[in-house]
Amino acid sequence: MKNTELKELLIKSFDSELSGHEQAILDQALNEHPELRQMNNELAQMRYTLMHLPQAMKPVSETAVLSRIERFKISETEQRRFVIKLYNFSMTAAAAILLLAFILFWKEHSFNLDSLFGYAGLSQEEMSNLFANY
Amino acid sequence: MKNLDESELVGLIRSGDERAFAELVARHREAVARIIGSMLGNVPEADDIGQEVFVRFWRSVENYRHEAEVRTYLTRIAINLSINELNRRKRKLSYLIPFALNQQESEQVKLDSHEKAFSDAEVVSAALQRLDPVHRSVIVLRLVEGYSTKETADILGVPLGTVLSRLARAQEKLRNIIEKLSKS
Repeated sequence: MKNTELKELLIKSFDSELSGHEQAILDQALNEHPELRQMNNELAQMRYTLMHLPQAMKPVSETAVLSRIERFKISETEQRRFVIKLYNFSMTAAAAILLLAFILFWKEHSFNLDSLFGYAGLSQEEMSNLFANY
Repeated sequence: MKNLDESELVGLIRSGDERAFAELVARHREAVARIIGSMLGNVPEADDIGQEVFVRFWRSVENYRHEAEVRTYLTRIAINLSINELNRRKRKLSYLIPFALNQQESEQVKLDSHEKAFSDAEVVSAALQRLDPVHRSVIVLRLVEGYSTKETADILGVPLGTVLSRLARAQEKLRNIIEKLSKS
């Protein structure tokens, strides 16, 4: 077996169960190769050190988390208020435009789109004259 | 509050009980700090991310279905936020490459001997910070936090075989980094 395959087998042996055959190969290789034994020791030491690493960070405080949530709630409320304001403004604007259009239509006594431009009641000829003069 | 089990606590949090939420934070803040500390090291952003983990839980408590334990659920959030932070840091550093190199040099750890390196918490920790986020998260969950390979796979949302291969690759990489650190 190649050196890299043996190393792979050794690393795997820590986390997954090797088959009986693989374990036998690994045991034999560990007896024969001092550098593999050294790697085995290093990995075991490394794993032990990782399991006992000192805490790198102080735990968060409950008060800090709660005040963060409070801030989040406030900003969420503000966002909601903004959306409601925007919605109200858009609805008012839409209603005003509709009302204006309705007044114009009413004034012209026609629901033809031309009435928006003030020449709904004109005949074809009058309209041609109007544009020609304009 | 202290006598309540987690599902009762979650029920109270859903109904808006702040004391129940504070109790949940008190129960899990050590574990969350361990994960974020191992993933990011001792950096100023760590505390912010630690708080964000609980805020995310609070925001998604309605969707929490007890399929995973609260600890596992929080761990998943902590790992995801840490990976996001590492990616953000990587992007930021890519704009500031000269500064990043200087910083890495100043972080070099001086060692007395090669053998000592593998049992030196400071060196192993420094080596862990040099691993890429994908491999780092597997090491943190499986070896630092002591989750089983099955739990690690569930938290990361990857198949068991992927966890085992990532774990093997991560240990090899970590060993190489420790060796490099010990030679420098």
